Amino acid sequence: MALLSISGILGRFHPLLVHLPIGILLVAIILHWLSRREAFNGVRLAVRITLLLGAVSAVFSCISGWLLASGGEYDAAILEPHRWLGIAVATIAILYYLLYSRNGSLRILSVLPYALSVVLFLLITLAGHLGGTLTHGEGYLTQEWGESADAKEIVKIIPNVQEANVFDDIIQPVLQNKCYSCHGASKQKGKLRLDSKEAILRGGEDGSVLAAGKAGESEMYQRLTLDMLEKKHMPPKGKSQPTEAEIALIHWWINTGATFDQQVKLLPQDDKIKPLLLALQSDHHPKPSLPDIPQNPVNEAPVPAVLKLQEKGATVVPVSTESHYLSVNFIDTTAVDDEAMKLLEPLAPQLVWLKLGNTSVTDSGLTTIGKMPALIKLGLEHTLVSDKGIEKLKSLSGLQYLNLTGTKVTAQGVLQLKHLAALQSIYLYQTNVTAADWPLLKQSFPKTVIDTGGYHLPILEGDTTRVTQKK
Amino acid sequence: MTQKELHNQRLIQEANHETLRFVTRRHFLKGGIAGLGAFAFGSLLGGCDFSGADGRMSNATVGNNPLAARPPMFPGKARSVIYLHMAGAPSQLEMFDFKPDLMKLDGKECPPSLLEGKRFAFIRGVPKMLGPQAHFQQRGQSGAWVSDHLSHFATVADEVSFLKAVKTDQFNHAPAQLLMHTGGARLGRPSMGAWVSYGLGTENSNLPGFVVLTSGGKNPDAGKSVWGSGFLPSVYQGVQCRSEGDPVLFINNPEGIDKDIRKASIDAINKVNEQSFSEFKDPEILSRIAQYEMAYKMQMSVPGAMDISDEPDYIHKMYGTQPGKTSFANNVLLARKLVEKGVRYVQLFDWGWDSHGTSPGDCLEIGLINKCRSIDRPITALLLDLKQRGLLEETLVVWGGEFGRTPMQENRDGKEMPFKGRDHHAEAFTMWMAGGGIKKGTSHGETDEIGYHAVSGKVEPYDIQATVLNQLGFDHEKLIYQFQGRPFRLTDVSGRVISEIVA
Repeated sequence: MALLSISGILGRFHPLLVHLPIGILLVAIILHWLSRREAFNGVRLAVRITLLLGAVSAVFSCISGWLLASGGEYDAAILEPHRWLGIAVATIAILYYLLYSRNGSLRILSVLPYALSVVLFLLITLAGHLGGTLTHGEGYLTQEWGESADAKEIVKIIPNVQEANVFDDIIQPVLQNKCYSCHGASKQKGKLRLDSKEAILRGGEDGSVLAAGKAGESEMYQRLTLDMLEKKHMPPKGKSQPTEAEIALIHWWINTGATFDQQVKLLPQDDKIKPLLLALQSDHHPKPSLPDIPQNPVNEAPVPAVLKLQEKGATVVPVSTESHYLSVNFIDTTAVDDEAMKLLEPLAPQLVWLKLGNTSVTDSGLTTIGKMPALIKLGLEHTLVSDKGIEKLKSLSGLQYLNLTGTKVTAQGVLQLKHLAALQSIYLYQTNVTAADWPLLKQSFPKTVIDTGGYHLPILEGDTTRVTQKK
Repeated sequence: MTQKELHNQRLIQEANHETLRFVTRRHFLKGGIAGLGAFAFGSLLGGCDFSGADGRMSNATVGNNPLAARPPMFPGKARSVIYLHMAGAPSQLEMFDFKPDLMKLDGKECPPSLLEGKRFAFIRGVPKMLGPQAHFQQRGQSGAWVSDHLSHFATVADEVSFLKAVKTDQFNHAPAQLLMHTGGARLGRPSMGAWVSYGLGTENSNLPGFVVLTSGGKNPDAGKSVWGSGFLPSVYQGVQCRSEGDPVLFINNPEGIDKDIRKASIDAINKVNEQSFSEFKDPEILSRIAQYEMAYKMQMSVPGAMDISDEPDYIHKMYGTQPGKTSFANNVLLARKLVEKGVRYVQLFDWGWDSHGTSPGDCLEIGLINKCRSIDRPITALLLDLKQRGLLEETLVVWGGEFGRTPMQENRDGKEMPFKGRDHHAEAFTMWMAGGGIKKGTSHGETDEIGYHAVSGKVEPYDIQATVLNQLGFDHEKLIYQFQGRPFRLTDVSGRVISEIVA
């Protein structure tokens, strides 16, 4: 037992030790190649000793690595090639050293070390990469270039939640997204795997994680609900956390017996869990929310055009530091007329949010606005625009928000826009739209929130009186 | 030589004298030696200038102006924030957190399990439980519980997201207010509004980006630090405005100084300051320049912006405002006007919610009802008015206090009180948010049967702050400022965006 624990500790040194052969052997290879040149003749003396140190450290890395691997917890599919590649590195390094120090007169003996150095370089690279994959998880090298970790989250499509399988369709996707990275095929922290029914039932090094019917006594649920600051909280701080709904679903699953093959409809459901289950159903999102800004990238707006607008008093700001799409408003100035709209033309590909409220823009200025294909939000409140100008906005197929508060537009004017499928909200407070127009508007814009404002609050007793002490 | 030139010359002369006084022999020697070193060091630091890599990006056209409008990290749902703080801590148990079980316990002695290891501000010994002192109903489609104290607000309950289990760790007003607004219970940290203006700048160059309005006859206990700029450049601190008299104190020109002379002197002072900036590169000098500019512009813009008397009659009726007075209602209407004009962050404080039960003014059966009446109409009008103007989509409204109140009746010094009151309670209280990309008609978090502890959906002030920043387009973990050798952020080392209420 004592021997076992010493070997366990030695194994822990593997992540530290591996860096020695990687560094030293690479230096040896570089020195070896450099020493071919006249100018670096001096480093020749260093090659032999560097190679020896590299080879010895490689041997120690192998030993510690073997001990670490015997502790389990690693995915064999990556571990085995890593193990044998590491041993190959040590072997080739020793061979390389022996051949180099032999330095015989045979021609083959003078070329072979160079060949070995190339082989060794490749082996170190491969073994190192696999080692990295073991500790940091699959794809750690490329995840910065590819899609982000969030985007990889798996969303299970459930057409009818009551017909669905409770484990496969509801619980497993949560475990997959939030737990597999440490308790799955590639890593088994605490000797726990959660990626199959058998593995879950087997539990981890401290035994079972499930107490069917008793969520409160199940390690799996307890760990999820611990305070974030507790060390035992799972997933650990910094990792993607399950939502409250997901935790509630796991609670319900364990309490209803932690079954693996039941249909949802066969399990008892209380009022709290019903809406959570319903929310999983694919048709539950009646209105998919549109992206705030277009997904496709756009070139940077021409700087001279931006400066010209700013001279006019406009605020021109990208919608985010990551994007070239622009938000333009004239909050700072009222001296903006139709002529100034021409300045917006060079920004047409980038302009998504435009506020022209309280400016002197009129119908003729909207001709330019109608040519802004990327426009999503447009504020024309308290301007002189009328129905004639609205017609020119018909081309803005991406428009989601239109504010016409305090303008002269009528229902007829607004109806010209009924083909704009993206429109989510139109504001018509203090316009010539009347109550009589409501049914027609509602019918023409079934998916759009139309607000004609004019809210009134009744006068209640509490508005005019105060409570006093009863005498 | 015109008067203006003469004036400028005099100022420059004065500045030169000051500089000469400032430069002693020691400075000269130091400057001579350090100059070379600084030259090398400066180039080493490279882009480590004021608008450097600190979580914000300066765009090509921002230049040196610390208040210029800047893009957020990602497209934010909200463009501005109206934060309604009920200073003194309103009683959640009389307004939103309905506890019928508490009614059954009314008048019974508090079980020791609730008192063990706890410290209260005023409760001593064994207090009695106190049932809800208001009539509750479920409202709207969401079925949110709102008491009759807020009859108007009850009609718009479907517009807001309630946070029923907010927990803080401070039970005294000043530290709790500081924690809520600056992310730290001690003095010295920048307020949320300062962080927001630091991150986004201001769109209206004639108005400050962060305005503070107070009512209720008293400033918040934590003083001006709750809207201070802490270690951020002071240009980002909140500007307190008044709805009565001069909107900003000392903003008018002193007697004998007209507008032109004022402008000329500010120009001259700024020229001197620009020289100092090119010499010392201290960002506070830029702040100073920006503030002089801002003060001058505000002389023109503020009286108009802060005047609510030009609002039509039906708006006054809707909000229940009376121009010329200091009231919460006036401040709420002002807040809407300021947001319309591009102010980023309007912070309201209304004092008078500390319902201990020591006097008619601070008890549950009189004072609290009157306080509720004074906010009921204005907050309802605010939500409806923002909505009809198309502003609610992009304006985040936050309502809350610094902590909640106990389910026990206060027994100050172990004695029975003349009126019904509750003590400070940090474990669980209610706040709400609306607009600015927040879900409508939801409620997050629950307290136990008597409203003592949070049992689910617990959120902390840090989470509120993280959510506010998120709605404006900032990752609260990345909006940072380097100070004394380490990066600082509003949420310190905590904070989680309350995704459950984000639409």
